[in-house]
Amino acid sequence: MPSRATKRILLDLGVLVALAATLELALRVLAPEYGHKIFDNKFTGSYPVDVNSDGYRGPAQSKEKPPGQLRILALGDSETFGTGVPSGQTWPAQLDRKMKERHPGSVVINGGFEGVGIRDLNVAWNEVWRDYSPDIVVVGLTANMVSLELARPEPLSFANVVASHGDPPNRLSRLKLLIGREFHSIYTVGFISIFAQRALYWSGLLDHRLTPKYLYGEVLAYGWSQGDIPPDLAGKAWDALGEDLSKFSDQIRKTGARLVVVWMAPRFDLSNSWRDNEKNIPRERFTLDPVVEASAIVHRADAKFIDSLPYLKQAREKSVAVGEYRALYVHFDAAHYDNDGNSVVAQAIADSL
Amino acid sequence: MLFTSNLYLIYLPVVLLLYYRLEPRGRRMMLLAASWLFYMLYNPWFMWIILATTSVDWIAGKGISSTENPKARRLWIVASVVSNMGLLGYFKYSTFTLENLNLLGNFISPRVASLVWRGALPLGISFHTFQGISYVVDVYRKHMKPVDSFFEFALFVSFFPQLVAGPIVRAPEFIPQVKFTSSADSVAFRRGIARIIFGMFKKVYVADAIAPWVSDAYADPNRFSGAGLLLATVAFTTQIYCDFSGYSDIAIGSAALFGIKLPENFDAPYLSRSITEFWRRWHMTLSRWLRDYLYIPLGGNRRGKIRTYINLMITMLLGGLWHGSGWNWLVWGGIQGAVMSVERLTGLDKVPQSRTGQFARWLSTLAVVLVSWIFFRARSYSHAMLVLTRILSWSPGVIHTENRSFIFAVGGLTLILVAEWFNLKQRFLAWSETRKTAMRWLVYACMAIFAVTFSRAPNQEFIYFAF
Repeated sequence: MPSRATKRILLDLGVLVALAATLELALRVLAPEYGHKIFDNKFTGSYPVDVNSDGYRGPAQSKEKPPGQLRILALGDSETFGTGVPSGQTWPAQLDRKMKERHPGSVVINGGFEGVGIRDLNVAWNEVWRDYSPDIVVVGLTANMVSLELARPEPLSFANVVASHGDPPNRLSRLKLLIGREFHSIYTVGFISIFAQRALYWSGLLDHRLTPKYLYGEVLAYGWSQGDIPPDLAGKAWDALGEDLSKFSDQIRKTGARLVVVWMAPRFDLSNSWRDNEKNIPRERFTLDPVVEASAIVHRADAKFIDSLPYLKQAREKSVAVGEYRALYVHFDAAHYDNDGNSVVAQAIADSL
Repeated sequence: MLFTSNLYLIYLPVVLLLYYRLEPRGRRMMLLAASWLFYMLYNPWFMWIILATTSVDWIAGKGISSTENPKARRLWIVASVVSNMGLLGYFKYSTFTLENLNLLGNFISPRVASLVWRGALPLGISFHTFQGISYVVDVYRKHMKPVDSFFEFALFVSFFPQLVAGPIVRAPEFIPQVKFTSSADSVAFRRGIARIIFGMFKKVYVADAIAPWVSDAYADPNRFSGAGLLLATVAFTTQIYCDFSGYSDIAIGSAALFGIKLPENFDAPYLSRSITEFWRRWHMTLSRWLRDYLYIPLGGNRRGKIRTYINLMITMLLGGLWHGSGWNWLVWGGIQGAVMSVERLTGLDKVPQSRTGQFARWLSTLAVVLVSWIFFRARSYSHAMLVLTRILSWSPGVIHTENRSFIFAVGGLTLILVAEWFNLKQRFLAWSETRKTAMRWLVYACMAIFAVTFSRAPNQEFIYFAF
């Protein structure tokens, strides 16, 4: 016979399970966005990562360019890859559609991969992309790429990057992935994790401090001021990025292609509202304007520069003016664009090509 | 294992479940095993230190009580003190000593220099060595009989809720409790849980939220303005209190669940009206230890005024050094000793009658505490002086005002003062004793909140783990 205390705890657990089930049902009906929380090697924002036989996102293109085709190669990190959106909603896919309206023979290849930097793009260019003979190379430059210049001095090989979307090597890893996927497909988990994160950022328990040994993160690009980070570190990162970009540009120019670099503005750049800065990033700590820095290094590399921020701000203002607020970013994400955001970026690029 | 980790949220209930299923003798052994495992989960390599000091002190206690020969008794106590202080000295002070001897002249051979300990300080060494010494001295003074059972004594040294950072317990108040003839009743149990919750909130949601901001300012004071450094120091005043008293609350609460009462460590220290009073309210078990095993043996106040002040200074200087090996610690202890001596000399250690007088004393005491925290928080003496100079000269520089820094600094301290003035902790604990259902649901809610917090936010170590 279970003791009184055990009985009571079991009863309480029953009540808690019933409450959780009710919350789950309510969320599925009222707030379906909380279910989009699967991010693994096969799903992004619960959308399948449909990489083609050559390993990149979107339809595969032959290496030989057909005569008369305007071939645009989109390179960059997760914002180009399209984290959180289906492959048809990425900016390269939307640019492809917009360009086809003007140049029916054009094609845009999405060569974006999560977590890559300019140094990695240099390697990938030599390993793979040069053989595709693009006419224009568009690089989506993000703040994280600036940090990577210092955080990861050794470049990744393209084969290793592609392998990240492969199947796990053993049964245990596959099982872990499966369990993780099932866990994150529960709406309540997404709901709790999102609100927990907000609360932790709000309380200051999570913040944007850089770890001196691991300088990952988006704030270094803004000249983040922190006691244990040397004040000139951000400048050094931008200088390194400039050098790598110039090398990359030289390689591209040798093939006769043009280089265009787009600054992919993160969400907190759009406004100071809490909605755009959920992570509570303090702008007072910024000592650099990344657009000024990016523009300078891009011009030094003899490439064309596009700043996405004015386009995004304009699109946001328009949407507010007509009473249809558009976030332009994936739900509960501070960096990755949603369908609308990618459309704005694609339009900005299309207009300047 | 950190108290503020998901592992502890599982470890404590599991140990409790096993504990209450066993007979008293089994409980003792199980608790000892759980305590040693607790320590080894943090760092198994230093377990030998605990085993060695436990063995030496237990044998010394036996040796002292086995003879009435004063020389032999003294020999045993010297053996115990030397072994405890020797280990503490080697691990904690050898680098500091070597550095300062080198400043006097480079006469230390490289071979000797290579023998000093440069690694991490063994966890809890300052606490369990003090407990060991207090036991042997108590047996020597015939304040207690030696403990017959080695395992009973080992549990006194290693009891996991207070092993790493106190409260520093004395054997006469702990040993009788490990007979385990009684256990915590439901009221004491609820009170214990409420105390753990209170401590975790203080540590995690106040101290840890402030910690990065304070670290930032103290990492490179040259970049920060005088105002920024002052705010950071006020914030540290909140952080250190919530961190250490939070730890003590979790320790005392956890022990209470096993039916063991640990001594109190804090009693509203920031409401003190003199530094003398402050040390009766701050880290009370250390103050008590220093008084009974250092200040009184030095002669206390029985050998004239001058000697009393000297004794006070020696006690507080060594108390400062107990916290860490560095000149900043010595200065920190020196400030406490000097102010206490002045208070004794001028009668300022007595509470004034008028409210205005009390308020003025409270404010000036808080100011002294604040200044002394600069030496406590800084990396070194020169670093502390740099912070102090920049504050006093109101130097220009950065002041990070984000993350509610002002709220952290001034709001946090105000919150503590209000909470202590109205005795909110005791009110909450009293409330928990009578609210069965509400407490049950509060525990479920807190377990969920803590689990989510611990799994996502970086776990900050307790400040006193470094001592």
